[in-house]
Amino acid sequence: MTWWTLVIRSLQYHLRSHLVVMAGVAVSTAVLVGALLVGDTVRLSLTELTQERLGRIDRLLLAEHFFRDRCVGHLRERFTEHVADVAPAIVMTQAALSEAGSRRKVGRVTVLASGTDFWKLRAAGTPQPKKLPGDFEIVINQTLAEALGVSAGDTVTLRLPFGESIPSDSPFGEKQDLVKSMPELEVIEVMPDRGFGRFELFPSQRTPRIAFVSPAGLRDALEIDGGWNAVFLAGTAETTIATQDELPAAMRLDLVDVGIRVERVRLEDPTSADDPKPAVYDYWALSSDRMLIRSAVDRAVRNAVGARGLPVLTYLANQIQRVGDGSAGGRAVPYSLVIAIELGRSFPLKDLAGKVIRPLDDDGIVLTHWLADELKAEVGDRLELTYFDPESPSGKLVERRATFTVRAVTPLTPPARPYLPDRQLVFDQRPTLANDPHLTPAVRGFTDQGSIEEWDVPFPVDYERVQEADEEYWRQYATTPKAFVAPSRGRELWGSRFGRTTSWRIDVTAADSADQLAAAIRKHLDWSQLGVVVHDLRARQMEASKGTTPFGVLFLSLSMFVIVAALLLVALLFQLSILRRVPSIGLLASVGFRRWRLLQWFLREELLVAFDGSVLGVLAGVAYARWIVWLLTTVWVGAISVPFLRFHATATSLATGFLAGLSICAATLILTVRGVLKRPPLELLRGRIDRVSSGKVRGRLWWSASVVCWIGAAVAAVYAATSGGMAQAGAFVGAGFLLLAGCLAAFWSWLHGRPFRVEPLLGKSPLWRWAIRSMSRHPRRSMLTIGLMGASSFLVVAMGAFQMRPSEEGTGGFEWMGESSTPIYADWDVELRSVLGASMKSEGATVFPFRLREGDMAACTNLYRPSQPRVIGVGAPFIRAMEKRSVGFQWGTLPSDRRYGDHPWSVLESGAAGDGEPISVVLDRNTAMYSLQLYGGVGEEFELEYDGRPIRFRVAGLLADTVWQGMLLVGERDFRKMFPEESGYRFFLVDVPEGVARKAKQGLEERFADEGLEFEPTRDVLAELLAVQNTYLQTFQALGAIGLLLGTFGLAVVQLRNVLERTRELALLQAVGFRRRRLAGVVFRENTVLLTVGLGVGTVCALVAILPYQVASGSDLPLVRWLGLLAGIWGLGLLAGLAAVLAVLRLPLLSSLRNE
Amino acid sequence: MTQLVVENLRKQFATRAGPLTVLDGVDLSLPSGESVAILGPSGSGKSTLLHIVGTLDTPTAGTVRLGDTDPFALGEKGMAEFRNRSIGFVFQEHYLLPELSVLENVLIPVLATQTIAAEQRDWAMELIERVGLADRADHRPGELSGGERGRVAIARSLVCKPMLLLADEPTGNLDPRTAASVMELLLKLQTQTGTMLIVVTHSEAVASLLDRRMYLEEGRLVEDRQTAVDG
Repeated sequence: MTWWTLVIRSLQYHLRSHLVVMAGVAVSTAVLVGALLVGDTVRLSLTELTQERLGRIDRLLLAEHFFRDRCVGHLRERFTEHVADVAPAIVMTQAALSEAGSRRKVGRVTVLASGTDFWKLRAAGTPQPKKLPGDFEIVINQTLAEALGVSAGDTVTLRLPFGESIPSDSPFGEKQDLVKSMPELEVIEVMPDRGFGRFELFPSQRTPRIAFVSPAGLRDALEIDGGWNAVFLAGTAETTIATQDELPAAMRLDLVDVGIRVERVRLEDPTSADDPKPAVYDYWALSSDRMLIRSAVDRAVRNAVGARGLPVLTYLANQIQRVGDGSAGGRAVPYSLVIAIELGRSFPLKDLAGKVIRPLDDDGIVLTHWLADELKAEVGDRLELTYFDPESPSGKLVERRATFTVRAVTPLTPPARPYLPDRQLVFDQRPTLANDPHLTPAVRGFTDQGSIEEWDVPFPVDYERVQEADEEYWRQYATTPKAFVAPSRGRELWGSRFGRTTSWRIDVTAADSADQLAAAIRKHLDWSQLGVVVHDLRARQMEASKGTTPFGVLFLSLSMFVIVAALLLVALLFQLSILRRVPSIGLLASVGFRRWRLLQWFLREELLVAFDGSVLGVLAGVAYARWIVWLLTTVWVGAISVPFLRFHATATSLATGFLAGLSICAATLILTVRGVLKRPPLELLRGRIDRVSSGKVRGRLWWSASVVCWIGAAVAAVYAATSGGMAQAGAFVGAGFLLLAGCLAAFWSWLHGRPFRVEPLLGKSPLWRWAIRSMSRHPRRSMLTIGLMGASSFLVVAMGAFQMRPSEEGTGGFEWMGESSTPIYADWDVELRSVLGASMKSEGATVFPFRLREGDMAACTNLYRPSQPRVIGVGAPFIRAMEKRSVGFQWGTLPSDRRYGDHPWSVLESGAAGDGEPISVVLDRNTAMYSLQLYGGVGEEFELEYDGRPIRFRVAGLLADTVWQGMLLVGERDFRKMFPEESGYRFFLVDVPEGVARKAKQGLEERFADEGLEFEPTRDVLAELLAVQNTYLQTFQALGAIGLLLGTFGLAVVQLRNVLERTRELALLQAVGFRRRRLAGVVFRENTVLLTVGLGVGTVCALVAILPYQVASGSDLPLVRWLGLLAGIWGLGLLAGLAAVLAVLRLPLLSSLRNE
Repeated sequence: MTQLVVENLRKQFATRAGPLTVLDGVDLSLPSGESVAILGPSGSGKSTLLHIVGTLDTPTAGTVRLGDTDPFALGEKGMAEFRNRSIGFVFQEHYLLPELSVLENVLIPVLATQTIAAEQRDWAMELIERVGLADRADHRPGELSGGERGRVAIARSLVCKPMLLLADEPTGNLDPRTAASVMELLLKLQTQTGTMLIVVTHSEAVASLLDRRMYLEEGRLVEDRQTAVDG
């Protein structure tokens, strides 16, 4: 005989109780494995989705400007060395699609125009169109087809956001008609939402709306000759060439590909007899098709040419007039181009006396002779310039004024024939430096027009001011400037976030050719700052697919109650199993077995049981995980927004779950058996393993502990009464929990020393009194049961307090929120008046526009980890309005600066202290904590990368459960600084009287259909965001109910064990005349008391905790659901208790008196 | 000569009413090969004395010495080994392990400190033969009568060849005939193995079979006059 013989014999003999323990172990392991597999499933589903969506694409080069076809050719040549694939495309986000002939339309459509190269990159087995769309055809994905309600054969119109090169926020930028259309497109195929059918730049588990069109058709619509704005790269993951630094070079991107022109400007002196004739001016002119040159280009030019380059800023003065005495014979001259340039050696402008004019101070201005004549101005006169503010963020042009003092007058030679941009300047007299129309960059609709009357410009032209002399000047001199100011003053007045230079005047000696100059400048260019950004799509999206929420851990936490309940059940079952063997253990101890030897024996035996249980648990865990995944795709879909999950299981999770289950259960078993083995052999021989170790002293101690808990509960309740929101709910639940802890401590105290009597509460029924007293027979068991039942019923009920419903504070009192595909510049008061009528407008309908930088949705509805969250630019009108509104957004944590105490939104107005200083950001605390993992609260700084540039933020305030979840809110000033290229407003909040809400929505959507404006009710948006949290709570409650169910089984086990231990006592009672049914009644009462006390204490404490909050928040209590659940558990508990009753009825009681 | 010496043994229990003295200066000396019956009314402390002598319980005061060993001076490990090597127990309840056969039950104490060798197995078989259960060696306790279980318990108590055999009401649950045969067997084996034997019993008949009879009265052991005279 060996130890293993003992183990095997014991396993065989105690098979039934081992099977029950094994089942308990299996439940624990199953829950562990299940939770880990749910984590696997979410993570791998996201990864799978990402891989399927990206196919072989590794990187994407996306440019704001269309680059030439040849760049793709260069890239291909370069990449053949690296065995990589290149697919050029035109990618446009935020398009809108409408069905021809109907009012239906949908926005937020991503348009992809590409050739077969692109489709070669798709993942194996994913669909591609049967035929690539022709010029008047379109392929759309299923989601888009369903959203629009169209199918193959239908005709649709695609509206594309195509802004002018000149930023819309500047006076020369277009603010209307920023949409180009592709009408009458036939839907030739509806693609499944798989592979490229769900391609998107910003990862989300939601299916995007995708449309595929032909590149040629798209270019026609955009009125461009050729080129692409995107290149997809595959097989480049390992190549360094496809990086932000290298890729533009590999493509040989040139200045022209980002809209920058370099040309030589030379004007000869026609009066010279020399051959060649000497030049009046001869320089390289560098200008941009967006009129203002980006500061990144300025830096590059400065670095490339140094002092040989002269920055020029040209601006249009709406009017110039003398200050004070307008009647001195002069007039106000309209629409004059004024140049800010450094006079002196590089630009030796001369006065009428032929003397070089000295560099100007900020107050100085030099007039051309023509302008001085018109104004009748002389040196020393004061002039007033009227001009439009260089930035018109709200779309409204603001006219400003500035005064100057005339320092000099410079001659201007009349040309021999009128100048037009496509013609050479012709003079028959010696021209001057001022005779240079090229100092003004080309602006379509303005500089290319033959007369002022023909200007096609986005700002209003007051033709009444224009006189024949002005028209004549334009005909003769066109864009030739009329005045010159100091560059510092020019930048101060007309510089903007779009740039502070309109052209560079570079000495001709700086380069031999335009190409050479461009090459020199290219060397210093940071392409990302010119809108050429390489997106490491695969790396970024794969990283994002790791998700913000570790679902494995989440479900482990949610399932913790089930796990603990299962472990307690394992402990109880094992104790029950070991109870029968206590005398045998006592015998072994008495014959000289050391504790360690006995522990070894039980360890071997129980490890085998735990091992088998864990193996079973792994199998059950797979089934459990499948069940949870099914629930997540059906009943609990709110937690993941869309049912995209496919079950996945990794060997790691299976092994981890198995080992964790095995270890935890083995530890539980060891702890249990260790507790038994610690008993003296004599006690074991007598079969006593659960005794109260001390009496009244411990009872009084626990009674004191319960009083402390109740005092704590009272303090928490007082705190709760003085706080608000979720803090209030949390404090109330904390108070309830302390109340429960106090009750349990009091119960424990009662079990030990009975410092108070409860029997009178139960009347005179001796059986009930007996049942009550029986609870203190095995206090630990009774406590365990009541604790488990109490805690689980508390959690199930109390968690209901955290169920959230959309509130006024969550929506800020706004009815609708909306987005448009393209920026909208509108006078919303006018628009609302036209939609609702003047009287309705007076009732307080308001639209607040916001700037929007597209990005990842950083809300809990997006399972992907956001790296570039959407940014909202909050303007002053909204901030002012929030100061006055009776209903505002709920703040979780207000700005720490007391200055903003009464008006917290004002914190966004202060702006960053300086360059490189963090930008103040307000965000919802859920976004901060769950999506961005910012736990530091107000004051925490963090960095995000946009367009290849790191931007630092500082949390200025946290909102609480609002519709702003998923977005970063910054002040509009900061927004413009961060994203100078983002013009206009694309995000809107609408506050309208309830009665006309729908009318306003429909009216505005129709009015801005071309811009793709769509509204959603704020309550729906908030409800969807809150659904995630609510679903988790439901999940927690459901799993808590499972824990409760296990608790009822535990109760049955306790009862059964009590019965087995008391066999002799019961037999004796039968011997003295008790009928079996009466004895069964006692046992049943004991069970009922434990069950009712456990459930009752938990439920009452939970209700005490949450009722005040529910009443305060005006929420409805799901009383019926709770009562139904608790009644169900109570009923099940009673049924489980019947097992003990049946045991009493079946036990051979009297024979136990005879037997040993 | 090895002998058991118990000197001034005291045992008190804490109760709600205060300390309860059960043994109050018990003295006992037992030479090798001698048997003694301890009699006394219920609650007089007979079993407590037996348990202390068998190191299953600890004394409040006094000493117990078996040969040269004071078991209470040993640690947990030493005391377990001492119990295994030097003491054999026969309980009223027998406490057989239901999952093991008769032979395995007898061998169980051997397994406490070592693996089972053929020699020990043979010795166990011999004991089983001596208790008259040679043909029941493979049977489980559930298949034995009360008397047979008692015999198995006796064989088990002797398997480690202890110096001291302690029996607590070994025939308490048996009918007189079976009780007599069990006692007869116990004494025979005690004589054969030369161990000391202490039997706690209520039965004068059982006590009369032993060398000496002692009464536990008011916490002290009192020698029966008859046995003193006989002795």
